Amino acid sequence: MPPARNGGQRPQDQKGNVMTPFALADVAKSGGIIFVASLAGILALAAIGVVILVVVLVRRKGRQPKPAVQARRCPECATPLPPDAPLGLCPKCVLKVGVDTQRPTQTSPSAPAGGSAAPFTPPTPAELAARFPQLEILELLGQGGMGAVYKARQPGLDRTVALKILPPGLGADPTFAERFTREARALARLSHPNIVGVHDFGQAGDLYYFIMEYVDGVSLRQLEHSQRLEPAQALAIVPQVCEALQFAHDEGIVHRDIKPENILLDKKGRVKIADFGLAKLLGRTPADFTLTQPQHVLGTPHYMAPEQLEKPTTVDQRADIYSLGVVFYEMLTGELPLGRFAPPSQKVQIDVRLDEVVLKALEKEPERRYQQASQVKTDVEQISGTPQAPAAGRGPQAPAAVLAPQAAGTVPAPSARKSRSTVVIVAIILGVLAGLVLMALAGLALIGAFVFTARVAQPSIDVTMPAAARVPPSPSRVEQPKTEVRKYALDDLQAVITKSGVELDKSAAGEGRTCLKVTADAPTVVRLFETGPVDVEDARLIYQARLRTENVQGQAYLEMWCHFPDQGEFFSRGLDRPLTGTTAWTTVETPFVLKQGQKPDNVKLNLVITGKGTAWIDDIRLLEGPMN
Amino acid sequence: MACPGGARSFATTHWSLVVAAAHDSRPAAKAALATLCETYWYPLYCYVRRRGHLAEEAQDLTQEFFATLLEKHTLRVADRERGRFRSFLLASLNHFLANEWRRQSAKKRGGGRMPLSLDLPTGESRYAQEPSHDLTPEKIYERRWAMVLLEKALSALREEYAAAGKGKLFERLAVFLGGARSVPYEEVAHELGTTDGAVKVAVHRLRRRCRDLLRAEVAQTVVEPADVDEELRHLMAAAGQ
Repeated sequence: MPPARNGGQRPQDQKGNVMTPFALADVAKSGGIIFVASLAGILALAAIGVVILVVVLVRRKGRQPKPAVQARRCPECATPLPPDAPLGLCPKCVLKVGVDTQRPTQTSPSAPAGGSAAPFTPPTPAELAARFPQLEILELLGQGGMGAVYKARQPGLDRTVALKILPPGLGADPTFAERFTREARALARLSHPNIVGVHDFGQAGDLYYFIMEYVDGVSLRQLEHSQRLEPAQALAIVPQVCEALQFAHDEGIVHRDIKPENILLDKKGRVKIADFGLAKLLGRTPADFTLTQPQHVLGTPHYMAPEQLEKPTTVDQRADIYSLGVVFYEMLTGELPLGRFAPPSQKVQIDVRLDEVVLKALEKEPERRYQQASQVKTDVEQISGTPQAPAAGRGPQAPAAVLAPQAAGTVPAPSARKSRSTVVIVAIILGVLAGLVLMALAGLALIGAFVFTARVAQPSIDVTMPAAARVPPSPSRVEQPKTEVRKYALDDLQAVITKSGVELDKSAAGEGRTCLKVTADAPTVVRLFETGPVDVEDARLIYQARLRTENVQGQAYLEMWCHFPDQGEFFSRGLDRPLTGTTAWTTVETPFVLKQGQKPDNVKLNLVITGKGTAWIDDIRLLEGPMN
Repeated sequence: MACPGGARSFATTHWSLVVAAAHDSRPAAKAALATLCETYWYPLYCYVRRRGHLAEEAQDLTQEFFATLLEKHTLRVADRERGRFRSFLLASLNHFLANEWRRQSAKKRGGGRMPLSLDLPTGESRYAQEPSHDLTPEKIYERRWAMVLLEKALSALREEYAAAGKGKLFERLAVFLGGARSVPYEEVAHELGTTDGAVKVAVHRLRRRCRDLLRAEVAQTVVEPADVDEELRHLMAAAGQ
């Protein structure tokens, strides 16, 4: 052992072995290393721990429930609905009510200074009463460039009428009196259920006036403002307008100012065209419609046919058809056909054949347009498959059809794309509702049956809308003696199976049964069967099947179309208990009430799935049951 | 001259009165300004709070601001802000914050000279419940302004209907005032025991009346009647945030 350099004793370990400096260093070193290593290890673990903690916290923060502001969106304008929204309404939409760009029936108080023909200030009812002693002037209904209209009463005849006065100052034109009489006489001859009738006309002092039929309702413009029109409603309105136009054209009268403000709808849903011939009487010239003038003062030129603006002397009944085309387009799409516009079917879900009708009416050259309004009506009705009953006398069917969206010729609109969470919420709500409905079913069955049969007696009403907002009127289905009209075997379904997404499924129905499986990526209507005449009347025709669904985002239900000779096609949808999400095999049915003499000559049976998902259908039958 | 829509009323809207009386202190103008401030103080309070002032200081500030505003005989704000009360109020506050507030904090502020009844503590608890979002103070101010105006018009509308005994009708039809066009009329008609057509007409009348009230409310805060539409559109955008 080398001598100790420190001159002292060598350190000794316990056994008395002397520890050399090297050994000591080794021990120290290794101890140090171990110590450092452990420290490093602990630090490393701590660091990892911190990192994990941070990650977890960050992720948890990220998963925090989003502020309630984003949970609900207004269905109209898609802005998030704030929790403090007054009355639960979308603030943006309500404020929008205040902004009303087109009010030709009312002067805006801030009539702009520019404009050659300033709107006249209509007299108050009191001021007018002096000039019309034979009338009770009730209230000013509205005014525009064509004059002012008041609601009035003829006490002698005990009826309500509309009094229209033309803007004063017309008397200055010496030829006006003669033209007025001539035109007014022609207008008075227009006696048609879809034309606002003229009872009387004349001059009271310096005011020229008409006494006309009073229409208790709204104008098409007002209707368009208050709600988004369904294509079916447009298809119900247009034929009536065509009838009115054709009648007037046959009498040699062209309206020249067809626009939504002049198309009125009364409470029974009848269309009434107002202001026939006044445009010609008041001599509206192209100069009146220059674009520098504010629209609401003199009426918009957008509905006028090109020849009305360019060559007004060559105007004939085809100008009205052009205007009808514009109105039709606007009803369908909500927009005016300006410049290069898209065909309506590209903007809304409608029959593509309607594009041709609209575009033909909108042809710039009169020769290329429809030549007769009746032709438009024929084409529209053929496409929608619903000849409109003449407005007078036919009873509630036709008018109700105007108001109730009748989707003849259209495909059920695709449901709004719902996010998963919305679907979950809807499913939960549906579940709760279903429970409540079942409880209330016993009590409501009778009332429901009454209501339901009353409704279905008219053209069936489409009640496609969020289930949460509906009151389901369920006719009781239990213990109803039904006789089978027809049972459909699956071999009959061969034709359907060629459609993609539809196939036979041997395993889903159990017991060796084969059923039909429909896989939908998008809203789907599957035509299962179409029959010839069905010999059932004065009874309920019931379309029944067993349905099963899996992950349906939307609803799955049965839909039955019945066509009646001379009346058209109507439908019934099983929307009182649609299936949604995932359900087990359920027997569902949708009835159609047939009155005496109402035998369908064609019945179509469909399965509708309004969202993505899969559905199975089996045991499809047509049954006959008692009326109630 | 009788004119539907009340053209006469525009000469007497609160704000137009105030602006017309800019250089003299007509009592009517002062009263008009006071009315406006009483209606729209809360959006301003939200602005002040969102600017970073804590509750107590914000209340102090708001109180002082309105007192000063009402005491002044002239409107010391640029002309372009005078077209709308909404912009004027905010500009005045900013001016106040920049100049007067600092001076006033130095001296003792006189209490009890509050000519307006502002329920500031309630304002604070209301502010605490404002939906939390990352809007700038200006945006919060505008949004809140739109809501206050909307609430005022809607409650006036509701009261009108209630006074006419049509409270229930209003409740049922209110949904058609915005964002509910998918509800079919026949549903409501069935509930009310009437026809679709009648419901349509009733809804139309409701909307028309709502429009009138909204416009009247907005008109009180602008000078030119022609500005009503633009102001409404601005408020729509503000409410949509």
